Amino acid sequence: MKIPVNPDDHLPDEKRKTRKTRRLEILRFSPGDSFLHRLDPRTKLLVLLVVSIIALLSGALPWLILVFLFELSLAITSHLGNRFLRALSLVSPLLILVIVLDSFFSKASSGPVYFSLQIGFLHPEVTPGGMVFALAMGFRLLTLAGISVLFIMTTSHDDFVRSLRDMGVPPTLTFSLGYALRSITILTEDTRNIMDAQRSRGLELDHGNIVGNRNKLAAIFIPTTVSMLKHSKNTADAMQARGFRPSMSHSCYKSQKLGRPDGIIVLILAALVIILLATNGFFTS
Amino acid sequence: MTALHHINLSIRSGEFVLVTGPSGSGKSTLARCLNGLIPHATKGTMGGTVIVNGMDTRDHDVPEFASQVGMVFQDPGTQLVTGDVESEIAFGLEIRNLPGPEIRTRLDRVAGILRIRHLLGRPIRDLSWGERQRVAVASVLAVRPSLLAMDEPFSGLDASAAQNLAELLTGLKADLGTTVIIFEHRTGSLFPIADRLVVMQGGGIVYDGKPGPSDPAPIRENEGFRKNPAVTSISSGPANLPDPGTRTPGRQSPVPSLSLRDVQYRYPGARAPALEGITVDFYPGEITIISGANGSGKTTLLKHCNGLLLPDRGNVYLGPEPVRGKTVAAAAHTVGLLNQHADYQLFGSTIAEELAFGPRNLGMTDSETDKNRENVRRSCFLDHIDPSTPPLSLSGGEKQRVAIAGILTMDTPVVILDEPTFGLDPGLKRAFALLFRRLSDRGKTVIIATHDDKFGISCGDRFIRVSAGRIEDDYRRSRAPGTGCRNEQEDVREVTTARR
Repeated sequence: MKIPVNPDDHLPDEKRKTRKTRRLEILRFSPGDSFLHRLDPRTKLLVLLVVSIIALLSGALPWLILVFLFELSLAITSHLGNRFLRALSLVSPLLILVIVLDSFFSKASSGPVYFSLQIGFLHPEVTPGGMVFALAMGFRLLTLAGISVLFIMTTSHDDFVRSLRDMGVPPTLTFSLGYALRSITILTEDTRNIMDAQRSRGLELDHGNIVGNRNKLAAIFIPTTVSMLKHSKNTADAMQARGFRPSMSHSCYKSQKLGRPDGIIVLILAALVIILLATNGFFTS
Repeated sequence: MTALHHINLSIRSGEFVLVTGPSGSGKSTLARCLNGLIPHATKGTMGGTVIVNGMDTRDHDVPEFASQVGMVFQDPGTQLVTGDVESEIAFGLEIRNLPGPEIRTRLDRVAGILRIRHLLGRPIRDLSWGERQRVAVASVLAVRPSLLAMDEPFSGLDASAAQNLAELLTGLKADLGTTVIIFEHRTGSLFPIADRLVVMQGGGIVYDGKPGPSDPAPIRENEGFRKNPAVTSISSGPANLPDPGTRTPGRQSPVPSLSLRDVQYRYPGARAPALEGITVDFYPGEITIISGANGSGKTTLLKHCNGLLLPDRGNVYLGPEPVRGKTVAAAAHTVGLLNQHADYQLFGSTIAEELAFGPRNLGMTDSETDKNRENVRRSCFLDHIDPSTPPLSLSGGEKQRVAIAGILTMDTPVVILDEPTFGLDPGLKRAFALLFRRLSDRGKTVIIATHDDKFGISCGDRFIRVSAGRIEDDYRRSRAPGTGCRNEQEDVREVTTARR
């Protein structure tokens, strides 16, 4: 009996592609009204920075597990637990690689040696200390990926850009950043439409190699460039027509206020950092 | 090339002016003169003077006009510069440094006027064309300009959205006293409310006066649209297809060339399915017109016909063969499908090369390709343009013709066109109606999705209305010789004037 390894294998090409994009689409802002969504983007940015620093500086397994559980509880209270884990599963190949390599080539080998080998200058060995170190590295990766995923899922581009503006970043810079972030969506959409138009004219894109074929590349690349240029020209005209000047100062109708949830999160974060410092949790591995 | 010449026009404050004329007559160019985009942000040279509210457009740059002239561009997609509706409306106010509470009040007021309060929290990318248009108008009106200029605001709207916009403009004129200048060739719903009509042709003004019964030729054409009782009922509401009295069920050919069976499709991430339980057959020798509001599922349905989308449930058959399992390129041997926007497919360095792209992909020989190309160039009114011209340098209406021609050269038994009349003036539309008729007379299955009811009526045999992903209505009418395209002589004359 033939068992399909990949559940998508029996689907036609087109469907399989959709599934693939669907898996990546999980890494997008998911609108909602949860605790995390309502946090001020500035607070979330602070959490992102502090947690990343903790994860990078502290190599102690218990600490990294603790921070990961903190992230998981944030995700669950925001009803994003399922999506959070699914998004993290995207890094699983890298996670396995990190754990396997670090268990063989650990810089913190200690205890009885279970396995050892000498291949030229390489000296892989497996020890309990090394395995703990490998797990810690795995959790470091998970905490870093986890906090970024939470930030992406709960912060819209606009909120993020607005918070930068509130922090005093010049409007020209924040506006350009916001527009650049949105352009990614526009460009993806345009490219998809262009590929559809050319496939409808008999251009075979479902089989064979696109990259090596000059004609196929031109049929996609030229309209994409044209539509991008046209889009930016139109947008520039529209912005001028509405009175935009790069140098002017802007007001902001929707200034964000820090609320109680922001306070709570900052307190928890401060407590974490203090305990870490007190127990000398940084710089240990 | 001179895009505009000898334009003398003075518009009183509070006037409602409708500027019309065929594609390429200079309407958009004139619009861009009103706020200084010409001469400041456009290549070319300008002679003469434009004075808006006492300001010369040469001496002041574009942003200075922003508080006086609100400009709504043709494509509402590219003029929205932020991510959500609220920020979009606030954008123009924020860059004027208005205080927060003032922005709130204005935002609320303008959202009320345009009836878009329900859209306020929504991201722009989820909005339909008609909704985007309203947001674009709102964001411009929030600044309280004394003059509102709109370039082809009706071209992407379905009948009911067009009706709403016309009512809205009437309200603006009455309540706020805004001067309104509309550049448009779909003039039907605006005729009763305009104070003044300006007709352009070849870059000059050929008529300027009251819209009335004793007007020259271009206006009589619009008059016909308004006076024709069958058409009046069409433009006045969402029930917008030909009089059901003319229904005559009956098939052109007994064997369908394209069949959809219980097709259901949902876009990834969407809650409601975009298509549900669609079962329909299309027959050779018949022109089917698919209509429906913005976002009702017309384009989604068409994309199923050549496998660009595969149904979640149900099947699509090309003759006896299922589309599932074929690549889109393989299905292109049977189905030629034209995308909504011409710009999405033009890339060749010459028109000739562009037109040969499809046939070459299908493996036609050079002599076949040449023969097809010559025929199609003539039938798509491209024979007066040098075939070595790069298609990307053409005007909007010409690009659209090249795009349609690029599909027709493939000579497929099924021809599907999504909004083919976008950017075409009435003369060209009628000429294309004739062309599609000729194709169906040669036994091709022609399927056209369009908002343009007038165009649909002028060439359709069968009318399908889609609403919320389902087929709401499906009926045929008999095609007596001479009906539909009312007067061929007149059509030909219109085309020659349009081409000049």
